[in-house]
Amino acid sequence: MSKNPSVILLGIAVAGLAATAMYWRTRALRLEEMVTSGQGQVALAPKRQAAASAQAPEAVSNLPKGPPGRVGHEKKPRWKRALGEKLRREEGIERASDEELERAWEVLVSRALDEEIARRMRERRVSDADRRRLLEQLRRIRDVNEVAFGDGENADVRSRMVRTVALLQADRIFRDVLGVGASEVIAGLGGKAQVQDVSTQRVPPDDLR
Amino acid sequence: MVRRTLVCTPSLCLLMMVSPALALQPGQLSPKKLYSNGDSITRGFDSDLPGDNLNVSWVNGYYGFWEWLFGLPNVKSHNQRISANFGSSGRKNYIAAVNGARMDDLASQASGAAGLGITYSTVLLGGNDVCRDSIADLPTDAEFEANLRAGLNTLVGNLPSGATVYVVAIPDVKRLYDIGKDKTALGIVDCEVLWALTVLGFPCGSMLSPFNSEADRLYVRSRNIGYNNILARVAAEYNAPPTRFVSYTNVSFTYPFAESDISNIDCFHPSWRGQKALSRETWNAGPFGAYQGGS
Repeated sequence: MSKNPSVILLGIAVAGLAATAMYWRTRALRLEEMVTSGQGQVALAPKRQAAASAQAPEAVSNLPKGPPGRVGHEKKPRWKRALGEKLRREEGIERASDEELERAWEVLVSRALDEEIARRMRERRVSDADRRRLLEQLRRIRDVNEVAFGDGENADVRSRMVRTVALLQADRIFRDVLGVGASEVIAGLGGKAQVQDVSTQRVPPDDLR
Repeated sequence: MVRRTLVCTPSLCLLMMVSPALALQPGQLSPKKLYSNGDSITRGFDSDLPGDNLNVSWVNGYYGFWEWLFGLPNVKSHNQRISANFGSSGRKNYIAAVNGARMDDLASQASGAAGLGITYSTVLLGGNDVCRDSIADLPTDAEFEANLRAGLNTLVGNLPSGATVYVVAIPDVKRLYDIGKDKTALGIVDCEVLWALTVLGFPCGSMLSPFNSEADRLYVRSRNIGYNNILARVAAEYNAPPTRFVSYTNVSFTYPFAESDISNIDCFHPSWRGQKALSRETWNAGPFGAYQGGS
């Protein structure tokens, strides 16, 4: 057995990283399971299809888009309004179609995501399939934040649960591919930190200390 | 002869009323250079997405282009309110808070403020002193106070004359326990099971352990209050205008946090809604509460 201190230190570091990854994965899976089963206790019957699309593992973003009913986008999503204005101003497109808006969103976000991946992964590479998974999860986060469940009974609880499950699953995919959570990746997009993190000792979260 | 009268038009009056120079105390610096000391609450741990969410931190939070594009929450943090009221020019937004930190970490965190010209520093620590593995692990009053004093000495020693320090009370951890039961009753998530399933140890055994009696929890709450009393007394001692402005608020303890204010992910940390409430309440009760731009 090697007694080289650098080999021992490397082993400790790898074991630490593996334990951290295992922690996040186990935590996310258990919680997803719990929140998903908890949804059965809330009156979800008429909305089950919509909720399920947000929950399904590896789900793509197929949340209800139409305004009718009590589930879905009640008004034009913010990102569409914003990008519509951008296209009108910069490219002279008066009324961009949904397809044009979606394409503009994808160009904008995928460029920022590529930069963030390059910054985090350095010489390592992310496969095209994984890159597409990450982009899809960002689209899913975007869409789940636009879902409204109207004023019905437990509407707020339902929308929070759907959102929680979607965010948990998206986060797990980010951790699987990049080794960091979705919130860290989003915070890095655009390359300009809004907070200067000067914390010197990084200890595990409270429940791990 | 024409008499000229200085007329205060409504807009001029309003401008004069909200002008920062009029409301700061003599000698007090504008809070443009912000520095937070704290624990996972300040880092927005599990407040929205799993892990740290600095964008929804009650003090350092921000709402920029990407947060807006992804529809993420806007908590209107102290950082945002400072920009809204005092302008963006010369702004700094530092976070020294560390997940899991206790009061004995304050000195270490505060040491990072040296040389940064910080004009406004917040302290929200002590949650992890109340939340220990067991009741026997809670620090004594003397230990807690000694750690607080050591930390404040370091902090004020690293701030310029005229800076403001804002000490925020430890939230009511007993209420957190009660809210967890509400969340369970609503069927959102079974918090008691979640607390027990925490992979590498119990997050706050001194309050949340299923083996604790109600009397145990009330005792821990009394320690929570005791620590806050120390925070209030010591903060008042350190207040020395116009050299330094140190204030304390208990609103983070008394505010009636609701079920939706606690994270669905861990039933333990504030959700983004809880962070938003914490920001609003502490700002309104704090040294710059007269400034309501960005509210």
